Amino acid sequence: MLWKQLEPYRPFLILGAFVLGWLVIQGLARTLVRDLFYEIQAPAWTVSSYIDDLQNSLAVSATDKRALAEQVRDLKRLNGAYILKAQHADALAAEIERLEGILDIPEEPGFRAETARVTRRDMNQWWHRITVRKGARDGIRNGAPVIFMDGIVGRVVDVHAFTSEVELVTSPRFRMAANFDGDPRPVTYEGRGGLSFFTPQGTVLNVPSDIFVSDEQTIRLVSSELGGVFPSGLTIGTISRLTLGTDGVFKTGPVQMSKNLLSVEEVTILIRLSDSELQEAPRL
Amino acid sequence: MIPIYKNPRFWVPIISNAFLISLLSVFNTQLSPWNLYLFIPGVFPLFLAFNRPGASGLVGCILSGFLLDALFPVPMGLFATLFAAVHATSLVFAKRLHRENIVQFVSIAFILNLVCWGAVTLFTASSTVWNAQFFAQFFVNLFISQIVITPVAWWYFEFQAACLRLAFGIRIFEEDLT
Repeated sequence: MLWKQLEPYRPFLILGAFVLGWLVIQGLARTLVRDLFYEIQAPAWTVSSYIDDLQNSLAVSATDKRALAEQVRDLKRLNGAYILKAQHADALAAEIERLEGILDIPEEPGFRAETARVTRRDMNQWWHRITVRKGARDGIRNGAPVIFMDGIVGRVVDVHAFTSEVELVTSPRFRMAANFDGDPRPVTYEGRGGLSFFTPQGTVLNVPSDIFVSDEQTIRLVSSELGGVFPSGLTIGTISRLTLGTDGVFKTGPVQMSKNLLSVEEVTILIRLSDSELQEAPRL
Repeated sequence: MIPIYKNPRFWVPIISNAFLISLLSVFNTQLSPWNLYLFIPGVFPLFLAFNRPGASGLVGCILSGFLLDALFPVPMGLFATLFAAVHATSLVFAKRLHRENIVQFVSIAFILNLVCWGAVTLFTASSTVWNAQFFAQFFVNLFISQIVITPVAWWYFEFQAACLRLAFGIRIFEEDLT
């Protein structure tokens, strides 16, 4: 009966149902299908990554004892130097905390470090991505900053059950707030991919015109807290050339990235601590 | 009539596609220090398109497409749609396609790979990154991929046929096409 009354409006009802279905079901189905097909394939890369680890450990066990003893000696020296640095860092952290208390400055966000092995690297002209062997089960969250020994690696863009996808700092899709080492004025950094057989590059934009660099006097580009993702002071790359932009006000220039980014094997994911976690955990 | 997903022969080309995708991932990981990339999606739907003209072939192509869609940051369904279109096109040209002709097969893989490269560029890279550096890397990687796809397509077609033959003791060219 009701259906007959609505007969004149049937085309509109069908259209409405289709649009509703498209908006709700399509989005849900897309996410489910993507997740399902991703998780089906993920064990293959994890297995290949474990095989790599096994090869490395076999290579180490095949190394002769004298070489191993030399490596242990070098590591002990390095360890001693790091203990001294850690003590210095503790003293600095205590000083920062004291000054924050005196000046009533809001506390800097704390991070928990999660080390992860790289299972897959995808470096092409469209995107620069790596897959790491830690996922939602290990507390990894979307947008988490990722670092390694030479500075920033990128940010987590997709979290799955046991793995996560990281967009590299060199990816043409990557953009972040930055500043020069020792200069608090903000600039913009963008990934630019790179040429085959060459180290990848980035671009720095909106650089104040009173900053000068040369091949002899390079300057370090570091992360800024302004973007709300990365802690401040982490190395992005170095700049040796700046040219005045078309607007005649700001400069732009290429950023030389670390060559190790292309062969990174282990990274550290920084997970922002909640207020309650911050009270319990030591600050990074 | 048994549902297609209950037919084990239906899964062989899809599982072999998943295997090749994983193999290429491992290979690309090893190539990354040189900033090189091998991208050959053109080989994945061809065996199904050539040998399974029915619904099972179409579903197989779509599932293989979803494997790639899940892996790369492309709009969901891009490869599934492309592979489904390849399957549909193979039906149109069914009379002209000779399944025993490996040269024809490799040539189609070659052309399809170019189409996939174009589609990914159009749907993923914003025009703001279409600069000289982008195209320099694009053409180097495309050149390497097109060279590699020729032996890989030839080998892969034989590999999938051999998998079916070993698993079920059949010659694919004698299969029922319905």
